[in-house]
Amino acid sequence: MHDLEAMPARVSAFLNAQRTGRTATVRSYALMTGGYSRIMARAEVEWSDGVVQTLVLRGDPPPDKTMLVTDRDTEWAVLQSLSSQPSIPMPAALHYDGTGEHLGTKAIVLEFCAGPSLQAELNALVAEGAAPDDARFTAIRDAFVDTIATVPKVDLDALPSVLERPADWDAYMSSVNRSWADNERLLAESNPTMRYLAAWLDAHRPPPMPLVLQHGDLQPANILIDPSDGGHRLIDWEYAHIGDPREDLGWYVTYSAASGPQLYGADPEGFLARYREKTGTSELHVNQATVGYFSVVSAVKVFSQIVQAMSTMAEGKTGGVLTTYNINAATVGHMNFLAACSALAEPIDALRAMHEQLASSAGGAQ
Amino acid sequence: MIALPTTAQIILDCRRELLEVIGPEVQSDAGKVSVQMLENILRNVATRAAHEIAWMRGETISMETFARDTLAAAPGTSAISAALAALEAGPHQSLHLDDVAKVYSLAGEAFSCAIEAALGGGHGELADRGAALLAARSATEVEIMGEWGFVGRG
Repeated sequence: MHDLEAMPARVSAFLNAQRTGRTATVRSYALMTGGYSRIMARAEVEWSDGVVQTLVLRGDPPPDKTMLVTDRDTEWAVLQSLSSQPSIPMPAALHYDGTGEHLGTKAIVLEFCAGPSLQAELNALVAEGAAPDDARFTAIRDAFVDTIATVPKVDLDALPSVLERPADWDAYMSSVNRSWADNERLLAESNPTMRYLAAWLDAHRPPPMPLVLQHGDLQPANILIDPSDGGHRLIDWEYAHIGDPREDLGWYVTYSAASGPQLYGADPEGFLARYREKTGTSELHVNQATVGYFSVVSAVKVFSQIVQAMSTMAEGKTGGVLTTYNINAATVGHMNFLAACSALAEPIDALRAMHEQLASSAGGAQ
Repeated sequence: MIALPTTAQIILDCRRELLEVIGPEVQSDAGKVSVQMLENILRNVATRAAHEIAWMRGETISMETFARDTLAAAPGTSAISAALAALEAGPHQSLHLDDVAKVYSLAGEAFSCAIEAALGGGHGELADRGAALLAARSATEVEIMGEWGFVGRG
């Protein structure tokens, strides 16, 4: 996908092999910035019926330049199933080169959304000096929460079988918490923080919730604003999985701590009240303490891949400026995870006790 | 060898060249993002180069002490014993960076086993002490990081 001279012809040939009933000619092709994990490119296509269309190609980087490893087959299956769910706003997933035969790497072809990202909109407000209590931030926050709230509503039966279905909440939490330690043991150097997190998270479980679909990387940079209607379009589903509904909230808290402005941190109670209203969840389950807990839980996949990339680099097997640059992402992670553990032990244990008391009362009343 | 300018000073001078001479010549968006990332990396590396051996040696001692204290409180914890034995066999006498980093990692494994035992065994005071050591480790990382934010996103 990096070969700017060859790619227009290759993309044209790929589109023409899709039997769309029209012939495609790619007029321009350029790499896009903005994504950290995949190669992204934009192609302007002129179809034989005169229609001009912009498409986005999303493919795997070369193995020696890969920092975050996810599976395109799974992502394509998820995108196809979500396309049939009207509640999820997202750009249409159009075609897939599942072998890399045409496009040089496994690559998904998506509808292009011309709008800026929600992150760009936030950055513009910051650049013009808007105060944190500016009503425009609140409006963006509310729209962001409304978009987040669409994800757990997806019918799990409609999702592809390649997505793992955990047996129950406890089994899921055991697995995801243990993965902090399991991933640490794969590294070239010890990471005591990861081992501590595995033990701490397991010792302080919050009240359980039914498992749902989670996006896995919900952040304003992964929400595009469609200029045609101002609506949000969710992109980058490579980390989608079935898990606890508080994971996407927790991941956003982790992300926004490193890349503000913080739509959550400015008014956590306002943020969570709207989320509970939109999802029908309770304050016992969705509150600042549980979101803090899941800010740590939700980070394990991405965090482990960042430190694994550092480890692979240390072994001389890969490289790249992005891997080195992201050492600081690991630093931010360590700092935030430890702060969360320090602050959350008491409130999480109190919530768990309250949950068990309520469950016991309900059981006794029957 | 020639010790001055120090490695940190040389790296910071490379960073200045990148920002003042190379950066303005870069036209593509992807190239500009790379320059921003490299600027950040060079700043971090300069701080590391100036202090990393001293920092790793100091933390190694703290982690080993904690592991031995935890083993004393929870005798028979085989994972700690094995990790401490591996640490003792490490290249302690060498100040070459690879050796210091190896010993530091071995001490980290002993520390990890100990903190798991402290949390799992209900040794509250040791668990708090272990958390304090992790917080100090994190503070060093933050000093290396300096000012940092995602570039190229949005």
